[in-house]
Amino acid sequence: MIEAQQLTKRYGTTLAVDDLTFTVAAGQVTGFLGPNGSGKSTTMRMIVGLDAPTSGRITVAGRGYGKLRFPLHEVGALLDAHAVHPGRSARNHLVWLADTNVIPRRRVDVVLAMVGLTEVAHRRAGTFSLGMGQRIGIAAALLGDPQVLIFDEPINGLDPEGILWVRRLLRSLADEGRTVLVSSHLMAEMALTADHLIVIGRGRLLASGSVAEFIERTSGHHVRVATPQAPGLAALLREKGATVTANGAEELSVKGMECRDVGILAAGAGLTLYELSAQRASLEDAYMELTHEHADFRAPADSPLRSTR
Amino acid sequence: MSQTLAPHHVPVPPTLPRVFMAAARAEWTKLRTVRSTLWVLIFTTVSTVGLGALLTALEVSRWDHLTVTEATGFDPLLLGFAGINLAQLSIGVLGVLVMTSEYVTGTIKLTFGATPQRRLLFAAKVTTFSSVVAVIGLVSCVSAFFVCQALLAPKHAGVSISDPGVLRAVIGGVAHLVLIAVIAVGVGAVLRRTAGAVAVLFAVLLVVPGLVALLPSPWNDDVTRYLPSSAGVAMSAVVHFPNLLSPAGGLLVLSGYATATLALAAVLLVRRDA
Repeated sequence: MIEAQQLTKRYGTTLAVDDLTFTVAAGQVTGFLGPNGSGKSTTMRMIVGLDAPTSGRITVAGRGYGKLRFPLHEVGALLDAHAVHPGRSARNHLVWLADTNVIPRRRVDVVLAMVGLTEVAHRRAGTFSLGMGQRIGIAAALLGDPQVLIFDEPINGLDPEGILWVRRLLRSLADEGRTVLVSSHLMAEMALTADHLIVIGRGRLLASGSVAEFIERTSGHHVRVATPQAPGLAALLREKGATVTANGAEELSVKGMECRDVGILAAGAGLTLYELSAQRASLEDAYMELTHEHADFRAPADSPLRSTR
Repeated sequence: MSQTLAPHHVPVPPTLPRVFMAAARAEWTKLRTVRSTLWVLIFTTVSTVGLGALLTALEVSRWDHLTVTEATGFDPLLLGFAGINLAQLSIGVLGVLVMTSEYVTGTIKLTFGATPQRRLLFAAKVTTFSSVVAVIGLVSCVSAFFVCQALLAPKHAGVSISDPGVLRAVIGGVAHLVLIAVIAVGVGAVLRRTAGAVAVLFAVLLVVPGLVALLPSPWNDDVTRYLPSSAGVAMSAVVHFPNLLSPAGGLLVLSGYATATLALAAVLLVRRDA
């Protein structure tokens, strides 16, 4: 279990993490979502004691990370897939890390096999692709067989097969009763991977709950109606208490009323409908709505290139 | 929280000495698993022995033309150990890299994550690297000593390791390299960037002595004897040079620089975010 209490981190005048309180429970995959620069990485760095909180505290299994001796047996973290000396082989990279925490060398070969790097274990890490780097990072996190695992953007640079593999790995780690915290800025990935979500923006907690709750809570739920008599239907729906927004000349999105009622109402007034459908909010919609106010983190709406990190 | 998993195989009890030993072992693994370490150590030995032999051989070749002052003031080890002045630079670069390569590659996050007791970890780093340098320094200085004495033997100018002050001077040469190694690791920890740390180290060892020499006399000599490079050389002198500290004085001064650097590094390592 990971617990943050009023966690705050300030770098000079920048407030990277602002009064963050959350709990990451064991036995499930917790997605840590937020736009780039929202404070996810900073929070994760504070979990493993790399950065000290300006105020508040963050504990793993009730203790501050700095108090742990041989912490790799309790907490495994992938924070930076590039954190490998390019001149050292993958195996030697894991061997020194194992040495720091008195982890037997045979465990190195076990985790190398788990991440599928046995074949290239003796190749210098400088020649590795980003995907292979991610695998070394994941192997390093698993080295001490810890109960708590933290992965910062673990699927970056992985091919579809690798992504599927990470998803299954996270699932199986959670099913074994471990605490798994995974950060991502990819909503779709989190929808498939996480059970629970912690959403932050500009260092503040925006939402925390199950994925289903998170979607439900958003206002993205609506009914789409297409009709050649849009203004008439809109007036009628508003009369009955629905919220109506026009999308072009012939399309309306209706909130606060179900499809069935919209259809009956339109038929009663003799209006023609050529489309009537319930629109379910996706995790992506819910997320966009939550983070909407944090405009400074978003690329212009028409920009095809969103920053990825 | 699930109780279904087997208990972790944490070595019991995880005492601080065990944390230190584990960190030191990991540091040794780090050192021996990058190729540059071996090359630098080979270069260090070759330059110490080779440069000492070369300079001694040159001196021997013009032996019969030496002035009385030159001959009476001759330190049988000074030329033989001249290579240490070069070796301290390669050891210095390697020492800087012990810290900065971790910051440059990002492995410092893993290192600190694995051993949150940062001061202890830093102590393990310094101890491991300086032990390696002690071994290489001993091999280099002892080899340089015997090679040079063999060259001096035909002129009956050589000394025996059992002569007064000679063994102390050989050990002094090793201590010179070890203390430079310690200072280098400290500078690397303080500056965290390879280029900056190497520049500072080289400035202190090479540039500052040149600048101080330009000061009016007697300030130049007064200041020079307290510089790290001169303090180091003083430790391996057999005869007393007026412009150098005594061997004990040299040891004291160089140890002082090393201690100050380590103290600053230890404070910053704990205070700064990784």
